[in-house]
Order: sequence, then C-alpha cells, then structure tokens
Amino acid sequence: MKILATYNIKGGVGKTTTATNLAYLAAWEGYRTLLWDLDPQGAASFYFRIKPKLETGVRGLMRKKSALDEAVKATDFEGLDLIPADFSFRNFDIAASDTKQPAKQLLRLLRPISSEYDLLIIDSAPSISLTSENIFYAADMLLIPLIPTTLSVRTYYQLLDYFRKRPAQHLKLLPFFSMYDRRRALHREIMRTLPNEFREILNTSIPNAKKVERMGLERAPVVHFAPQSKPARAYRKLWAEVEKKF
Amino acid sequence: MFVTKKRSFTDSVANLGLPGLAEPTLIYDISNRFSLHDLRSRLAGSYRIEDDPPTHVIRSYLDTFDWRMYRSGLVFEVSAAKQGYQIVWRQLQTGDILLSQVVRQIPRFSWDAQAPGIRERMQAVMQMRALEDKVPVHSDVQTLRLLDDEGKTVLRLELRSDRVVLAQSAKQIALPPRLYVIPYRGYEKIRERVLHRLGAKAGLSPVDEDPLVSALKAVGLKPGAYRNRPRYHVQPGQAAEQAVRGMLEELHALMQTNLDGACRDADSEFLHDFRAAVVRSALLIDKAEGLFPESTLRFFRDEFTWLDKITRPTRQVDIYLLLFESYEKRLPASLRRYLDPFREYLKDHKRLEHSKLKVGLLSPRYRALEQRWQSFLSAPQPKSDAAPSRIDALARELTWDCCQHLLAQGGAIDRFSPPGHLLSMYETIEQLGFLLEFFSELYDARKIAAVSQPLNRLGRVLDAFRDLEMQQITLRKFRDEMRSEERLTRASMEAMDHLVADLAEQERVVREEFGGRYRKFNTKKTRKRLRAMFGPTSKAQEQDSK
Repeated sequence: MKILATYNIKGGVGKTTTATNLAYLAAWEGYRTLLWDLDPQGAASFYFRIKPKLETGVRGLMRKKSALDEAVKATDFEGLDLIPADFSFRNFDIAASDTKQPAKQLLRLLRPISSEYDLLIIDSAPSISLTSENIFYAADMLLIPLIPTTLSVRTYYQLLDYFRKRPAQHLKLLPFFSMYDRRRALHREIMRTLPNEFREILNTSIPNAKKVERMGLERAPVVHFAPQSKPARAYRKLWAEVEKKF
Repeated sequence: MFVTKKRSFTDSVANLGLPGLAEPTLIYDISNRFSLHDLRSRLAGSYRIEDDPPTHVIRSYLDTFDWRMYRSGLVFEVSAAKQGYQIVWRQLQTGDILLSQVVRQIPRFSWDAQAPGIRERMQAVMQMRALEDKVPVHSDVQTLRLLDDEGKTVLRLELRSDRVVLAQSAKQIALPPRLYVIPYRGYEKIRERVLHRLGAKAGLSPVDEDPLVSALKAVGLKPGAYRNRPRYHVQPGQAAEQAVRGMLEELHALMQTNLDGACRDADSEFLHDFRAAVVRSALLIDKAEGLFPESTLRFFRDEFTWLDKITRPTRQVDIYLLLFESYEKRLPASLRRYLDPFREYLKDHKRLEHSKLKVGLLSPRYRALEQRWQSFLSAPQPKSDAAPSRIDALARELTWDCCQHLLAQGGAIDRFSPPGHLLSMYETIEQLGFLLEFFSELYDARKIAAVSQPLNRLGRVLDAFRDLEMQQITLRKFRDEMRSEERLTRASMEAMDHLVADLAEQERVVREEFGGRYRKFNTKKTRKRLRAMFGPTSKAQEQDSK
C-alpha cells in the first residue's frame, strides 16, 4: 500500500479538496483507495456525507487492534473507503506520546488493513506536531499545496528547514501551486520564479474556482459533480502527475 | 444461505493476497408478483428511501477458455457502467467480494488491467490466458437506496429480472426474479435490520448459489470440462493397434478444440495445446511401426512433421513475449528500457509468423490432412503383415528402449561433454515422459510414481539446461536479425548481450548440478525398478499374463 499525505503547516491552502479529489480519481483508476480524514475539523468526511465520529475515539484506536478496520466506512463511490474524522484526533499527540515509539504509531495502526488497499491518502491537519511526525514516518509522498503568496511559500521554507534538521530520506516532497488566481500579479510572479528555486514543484497547478467551493453544497468531489470544469481538469492532471511518481 | 457473514477464503484465493474488500451481496428468491412497491412498504417508516431510475444492464461472466477463474472458485462479472465497465470479482462459494471497481476497458489479459493491484491478482489466476465471454445475462434492474440523515447511501436493494440470451440463436432463457441486497462497509447494523425484515418478517428465502451458477444451469453449460492433457483409456490386454488409435483420437480431439483459438490467436495457450497434441501424435505415429501400413504411416509422419514446422515459429515468439517481463527483471534497472526495441521486434514478428501460421492451418493441405486423419481414426485400417501385438508388450518395449537409451546417454556425459549431448538426453527424457503419460493406465499407480519421481528430478535439471541453452541461441539469433533489420541500437545490443551472459551464467550452474543429479538417478535401486516395470519378461511370465 502506497501512502500519500496532503500536508501544509498552514491551513486553508486546499489540502482537503486535493485529498478528496485525488482519492476519488485513484479509485476511479482502479486503485483500492482509503482516505483517512485525520483533520479533527472533518471536512473530508463531510464531503463524502460520512459523520465525523469514531466510536472508540483516538485512545480506543491505539488500544484495540481491530479498531481501525472497524472504523472504515464505504463511500458512495466504488473502490473508495474512508476513515472518518473524530474530534478526539486533536489528542492524537497525547495518545501517541504515551507509547514506546511515539512517531511510529500511525504506521502501526495501519498495518492490519494495509493489504486491503493499494493506496492510502491522508488528509492531515494544519500543524507541525507529533501527528505530523507520524505522517512523515508513514507516508511515501507528501503532497504540499502552496498558495502563491508570500506567507504560504514561507511555510514551505519552514518545512524544508524542519527536514534539514530531521531528514526523512524515504519521503518524497511534492509541492504544487494551489488556489492560484491568474489575475493577481503576485501569484503570477511567484509561479514564475519559485519553480526555478525548487525543481520539485509539480507542473500542475490548481486554480481558485467557485466550482470547488460548491463541493460543500454538493457534498462530493468536484471531479464527480463537475467533471468538465477547470478545477476538475486540473485535478485529473495533478493525479496523472502524482501517479507517475509512484 | 448464499453468503456467510464471516469472510472465509479458499486456500487458492488466500494465496493471492485477496482480502474481502466489500461486504458480500445477499440474494433472495422472490416471486414474479413481488414488486418495488412491496419492498418499499416493507421498509417504509424506518428508513429514508430513494428510487433510482430503472436500468437495463448486460452482465457478462468472463472466464478463460479452460475456466481458470471458476476452477479457482472465483467469478469475474462485468457490466457496462456510466463511465466504463463495472467489474465485480467475487468468490463463487461465499460471494465475498474481492474487487469491485469501475474500469475504462474490460481487461482481456491480466496485463491489460490498469491498476497494479488488479493486474497481479488476475495474473495469479489466469497466467497467460485471455478472458472470454462465457454467458451474457440481460437484466432489468429496479433500485432502492436507503439513506442516512446525511443523505449517504447505507444500503442498496435491487430487484432484478434476468434472462440469458444465447448468442447463436438469440433465444432467451428467463431466470427466476431475485432481490439483491448490497451492503456498505461500516453500516452493518442497518444491513442486519433490513435482512431481518426481509427474512423473518417477509418470509423471503435466501439463495445459496451464485448468479453465474444459475445462468450456467439455465443454458446447460458445464464449466471446467476442458483438459489440456487427454485421458488415454488404455487397458491391459488391448490390441496395440486399437489402443494407439484410441490415443490418437484423444489427441485429435485436443487439436480440434484448440484449432480455432490458435487461428484467432485468442491467447498463446491455444497454440501451445494444439502443438502439444501434434508433437505427441507425431511420436505415436513414429512408434506405431508395424501396426499400420507403412505407406499410411509415412504420409502422416510427413504431414505431422509439416504441422510441427509451421506452428513452431509462432510458438517460439510467444515464449519470448511471455518471458519478456522476466528478462527485464534480469537486467539492471538502467538497462531495462533498452529492451523495448526487442519487445517491438517480437510483437512485429508475432504478427508476421501468426499470419503465416493461419495460412497454413486454413490451407487445402491442412484440410486434406484433417480429412485423411479423421477417416484413418474412424475406419478400421487394413492390418499389416506383422503379427498382432498387445499394447502392454508394445508399451514395455518402447519404454524399456527409451530407458536404456537414456542410461547410455547419461553414462557417456562427463563435465567436458558438449551441450548437444545434454540436449539429446533431454529429448530422450521428454520422450520417456510422453510414453509414461500414454501408458500410465497400464501400470500400478504407486509403482509408476516410484520411477517417475527420480525421472522428474533428472528431467527438471535437463529441462532447465535445455531452456537456458535454447534461450541463448534464440536471443542471439533475434539480436542478429534485429541488427540486419537496422532496429538495434548500441544500447539495446548491450542489453541483449547482458541478458545472454546472465543466462549463460545460470546455465553454467545448472550444468554443474547435472552430474550430481544423474548420479542420484542412476542408482541400482532405480535401475532395478525400471527393469522390473519395463524390462523384457521371461516366456513363462508372458504366458502367465496371457
């Protein structure tokens, strides 16, 4: 099972929309896909109409071997399952820190179900914490949405600085521009210059679009309810680019 | 009941690494009068229910020619979906769903499957065989969806009216109407409550057979009847002429079964099995000296040699196409892409060779052979002047000759012997294998197993040696042909040479293994067993057995 996580220290950059759309596309491509909504806000669960509730809570998840398996819910889409968010995920750090190997708990939890899926996509919460360390340890790739603004780009520098101090050789960093607006000069400028500095930035960028906002009303990925829209086309392109990195 | 709640897997499927991903569908028998309205009224009040528009679905059950899916306890169901095709791969006995996905194209071969997960699992079941449509079922479907308060589907109920449409006659055979309950993972409580209402309260009875089985029964199809090795019904004391003719008839049936698939190139195994029958028939014709008129044997000997000759090149390219993935794995990652021109070359040559093969198999010469062969097999032939012999005696004589030849060849091989000597010995052991296969019913199963085991062990090392030797020779031939056709770059040549060197190294290891393996085979005990089973009998023994 490959593990892909959408991650950024900053919130509101398009992590959840990316995770939900890519999970849908992966399942559509024939990957047995699991999406784990690790953000206590539960937006990914909301998009798939699944209640953000885990019966065992995060503590129970740590204790009971089969708890994660029992938490899995089928979405309305073939080949795509979801582990819903739970408000107790905000305490993941505390629960993990009580264990012998705090940074390896996420991977440990995933082991029993890893043969059931070809791909796990983690939608992570915006922070840098023990939960993030768990994600960095478990994931093969980190998909990092960057809004082409100074503050958002700054968080990427912070992340790189973090990995300089704590190298994670196995982890592929895949930053890409998200929520860009071509009408804005700053966006154009950053999108022109930053890829010269960071070759790893993906070629595909996701535009800021009203159709994406409709995901909350439709409660489905934009690639499903508006497959010909500009953002849906961009997400398909992004998935194709990410898939090649596997 | 059709499905069990607990997931249980047959060994074969467990070995494929196929966990049950989705909950199994449950099926109920319903009467023709049972309607969507009835269903709705049974569930009303407790659930939010939504109707989907009625649909017409054509559901195909795919399997390989020789039913590898079915024989592995699996069902591969395909139906048209909105954005492609819905594949449902499930267990025949339990209904556990191993894979349920929408794909853009129906995979014919395992390597056509897009996602790597599916590809590997299909490969484990089908190997190189293609999927074909076994039985198409036309279905009128009415669907109810149960929703939770978020508007999420938590269970689907489908009323299906199915009929099998026979391709040749367009005749339709109606299947009993059924209710399908399709649960969603994570919503088991709702499923249990609905099942309780349908079973205990509405009195519907669950069905204990897969829809594929119902469809097969309706059209009278029996899966798994094909065997790529015939059963030769040879009896002790039978006249040799009659027994040989019977064996040739079995092999002829195998040729006929595979002829169409070999002509269409449906998959590589049709030609493989066709050739297996040709090669065995040729051997039997060769060994039937004295049983039939020499002029008849000469004609068939020549014609089967011709058949072997025209089918060999396509089979050879098939083998290398099938080996291609293993060749890539033999190379360092940096060299792998340079093998691509070789793959293209093989594909081109496959097209060319197969078109020649098709011309041969559809030629007047083949038709004439077929006609004469059929009349030879069905009509009693004038006997030759030689005295009639029994199959037991012939079997012993042929097998013993072969054993002695094998021992003589093995004894003459030392570490300096050229590869040709081992290749000749391989041919002898292959022939011996065929003879044991033909005449196995004449011998005690335990005794034949006791001599087969050391023979097989020796056979495996000779087979590996021959395989590696032939691959090097053929790869060099292909490489030279590619060079003369100007489709070989320097890098590709290096990749192919690397491959040949790797095979040569492996051959060296196998060659070293041969001496020890032969010594283990050539023991007093084995020789005694071979003599006891196939060696010449005394006159008294012969009288007794008569």
